[in-house]
Amino acid sequence: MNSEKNKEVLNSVEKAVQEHNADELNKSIDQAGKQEIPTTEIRQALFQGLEHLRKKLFTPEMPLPKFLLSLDVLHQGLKRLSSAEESEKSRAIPVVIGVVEGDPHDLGKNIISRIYAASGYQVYDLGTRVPVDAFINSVKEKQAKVLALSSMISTTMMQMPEIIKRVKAISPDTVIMVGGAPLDLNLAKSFGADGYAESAVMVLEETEAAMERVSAKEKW
Amino acid sequence: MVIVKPELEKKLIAEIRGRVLSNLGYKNRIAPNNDIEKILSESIAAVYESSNPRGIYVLAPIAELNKKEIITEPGAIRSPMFARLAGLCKGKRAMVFMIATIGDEWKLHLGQNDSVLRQFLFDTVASEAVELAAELVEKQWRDEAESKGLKATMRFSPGYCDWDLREQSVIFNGLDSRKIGVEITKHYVMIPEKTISAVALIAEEVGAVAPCAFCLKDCRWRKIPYQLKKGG
Repeated sequence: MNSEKNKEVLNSVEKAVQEHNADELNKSIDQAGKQEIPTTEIRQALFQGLEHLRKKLFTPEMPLPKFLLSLDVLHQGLKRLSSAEESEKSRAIPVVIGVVEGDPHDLGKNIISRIYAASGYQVYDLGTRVPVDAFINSVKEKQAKVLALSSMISTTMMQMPEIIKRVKAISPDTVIMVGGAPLDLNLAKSFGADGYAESAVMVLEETEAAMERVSAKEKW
Repeated sequence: MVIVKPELEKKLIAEIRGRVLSNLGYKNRIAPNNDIEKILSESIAAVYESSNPRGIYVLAPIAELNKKEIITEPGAIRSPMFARLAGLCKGKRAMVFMIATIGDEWKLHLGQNDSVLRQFLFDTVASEAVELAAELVEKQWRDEAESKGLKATMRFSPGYCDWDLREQSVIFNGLDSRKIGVEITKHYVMIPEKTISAVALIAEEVGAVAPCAFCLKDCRWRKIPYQLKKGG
């Protein structure tokens, strides 16, 4: 009986994200709390709601603003759960993300950062115009499992090979993802990156695939 | 220096909503929902209120033209594709250098903790606004060229086609960008962020308006279909 009721509440969490309904999400999370549903299950329902939308992203049914509306609602839901999740944070995968030095464009990085955070990664966002040394120090300090580098300009993008080389020298198992308008798959490979996401839609799949390759020491 | 704010107001009201929605993927009469509509309206109003659209341009004579580059007083445009385009321009000809910006003030409406949707819509509206500002600056030099009996190609920005982004500095050599509060960094990035720099060719006869006319690549930035006839 309880599991039926719990399932119903978790479905309503998932639906509230899909319908970007913040009020409904708050009510459902309150109800989930009353029914003592574990935080991990609520989080999973939140992510499932977004995942459903992500598959339809960029179709006429799901323009990017509509997806972002749900991403923001999911983010609010995660914030409500955050105190209960403190103990889980230590288990989350640490990601360092930033835009390379000289590049002020932060929007793409902000979207990716929220997608990582909304998907359970522990995100350390270094912002824009990040010097090479700041990336290296942050990877070391946060013991980053993933480093996500962004550049929207072909001239600033040319710093990526150096960052990748230096990070790999101190932390060979850190998975390095690159993205941004001037990049493509071949460039990403030639820079020595472990993965490349052409857009926000693919960033989670590509990160997971890159993590598997690095862990299995497979060549990309 | 060209100040374009009064014209931009009319354009913003008349065009920006449709252009932004189309870019965002709202087509075939699909409309954004109320939440998105509300932020979009707010962002259009805020970008207009806080933007300071302005531009600058100069017409520079072409000193020399060869297969690889167009040489002007501010510097060489090293691009075989643009050189070929210039070769199709006949009679009296010149190069236009232009910069347009809306400033950075629109960003003051955004906070660090704002939703991604709000950041995204403000950025999209600001990008369209600077594009509109560039169109208005372009109209000014097109009118000037026309008054001299000259025709013009489309405008092109550094990084287009085979023209290296680092050649951005040629445009800044030709114009005093400080007059409109624009600077270029050592990485060839323009500050304010929402700034457009470009060049165009003007001549008595223009054989093609873009290098795409004789380029067979099916690239995403293609502006016109291949159209050069045999022997051209």
